[in-house]
Amino acid sequence: MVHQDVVREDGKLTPDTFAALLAWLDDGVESNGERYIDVRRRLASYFDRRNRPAADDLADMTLTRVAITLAQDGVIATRPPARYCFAVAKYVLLEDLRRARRLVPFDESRATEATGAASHGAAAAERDAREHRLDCLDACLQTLKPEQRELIVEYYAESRQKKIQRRRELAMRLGISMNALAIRAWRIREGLMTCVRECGNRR
Amino acid sequence: MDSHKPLRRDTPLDDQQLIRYLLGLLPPDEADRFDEASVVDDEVAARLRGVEDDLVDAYVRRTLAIDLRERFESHYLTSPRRRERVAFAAAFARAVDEAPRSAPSWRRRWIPALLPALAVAATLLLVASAGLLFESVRLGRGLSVAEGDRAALDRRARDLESQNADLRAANAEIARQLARARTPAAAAPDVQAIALVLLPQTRSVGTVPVLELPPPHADRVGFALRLDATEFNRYQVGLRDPTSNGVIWRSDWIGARSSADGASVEVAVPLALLKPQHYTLDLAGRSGGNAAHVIGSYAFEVTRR
Repeated sequence: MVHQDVVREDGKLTPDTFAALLAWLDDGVESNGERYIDVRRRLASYFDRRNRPAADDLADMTLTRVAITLAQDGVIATRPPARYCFAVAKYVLLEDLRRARRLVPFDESRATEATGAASHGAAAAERDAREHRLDCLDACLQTLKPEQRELIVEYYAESRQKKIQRRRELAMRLGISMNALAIRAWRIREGLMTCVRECGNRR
Repeated sequence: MDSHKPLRRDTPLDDQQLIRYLLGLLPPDEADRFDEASVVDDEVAARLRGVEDDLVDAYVRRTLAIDLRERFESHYLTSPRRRERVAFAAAFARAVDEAPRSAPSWRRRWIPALLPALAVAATLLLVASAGLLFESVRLGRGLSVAEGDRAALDRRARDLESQNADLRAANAEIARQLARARTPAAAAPDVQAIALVLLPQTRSVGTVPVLELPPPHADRVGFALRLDATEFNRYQVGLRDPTSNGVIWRSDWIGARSSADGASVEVAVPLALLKPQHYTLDLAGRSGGNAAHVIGSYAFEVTRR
């Protein structure tokens, strides 16, 4: 039985329940919500790799269930918290497979892209979208600090043979480990991708 | 709640193993262990993110080995979420690769400016080639000259094509559009013979279904897309070319058919659109006036007989 003090009428967690979830995921190390974002991203990727179209919705559903259990039982003993989240996620996946109900909205604009004369327009639209994506990326790159730009250029530049060596040297130059460098580069890249996506949505 | 054996971490993680996991090439048990580790284990999660980005970058830069590239197209690109990742990577790689030569602004603005003109030029070349051929046959003379001209035009077309990847993509699109224009209106659900039955993809560890060309009879190839459930009244199938990530053909909205084997959506895809490579069929469904929903992707490979 789910009470109103756990989940609101719109299906979202109450602020108290959500705060309890964040604290539980942090597992004693304050992350200002970053741990929640990270676990949610991992869950969404897991569902996506299992070819579930509504991967983000399933990740949210998983974390909502965990939060409800936490609110109702007061404690979840499984450690680390992500392990319990994954166990719940497996059930959410099975349920979704059984339902075979996919919730990703169909992109209506694609429906006309290959029917007769409309396909010419669709090809142009595809080019426009690509151009717009590049414009967005330009704008998003401008928001980076110079050292961030330098880092991703150095980290991700094309190089077939020397990639590992170049990254190792970059890590040494910055005085950080290879792992820390990878995480730093990935965060900048993910930030850019989010920025480009939001820019595209504003179009 | 959690019964299977966790991923063993007494040996260093192998990037190749992570790539195999991302491409759906691991046996189910092992993939399950990676599934768990990708959520639970911070190090695996971080490594996986890095390996995935490098894999996608290698794909958009065309440096992936051919077998991995094929697998990438038939497996990784079946997800809209991952396709978005690839689209971003294409722009990102271009910006990063051009940065040292042209910082702070990215060198690329001449490409879109040239594209329309180059596309028109390519179309004109195709039309001119066809015109030359027609003239030479009708007049019964000058065939060799015309062919020579045509060969020169072809060489010119190849030169143009080699100028940049964007132009190649534009030419391929034009060729596909011409092929489509020559093809009668598609998507009649009157499928005479099913050449390939495709199952819903939840995790691909087996081989991708293969269609051999040319199929027996007619100018179309029949596909039956098996459904988990018949929850919609109407369905639409789109043929996606992973190399351009574009939908090159789309059926009308049609009903599902039931048989002893279960429900399926049957479509006849114009043979002229298919060449030896991987494709996916994207299935969408809708009921009444409601919004359509993406149901899934069905991958297959076309080979020569």
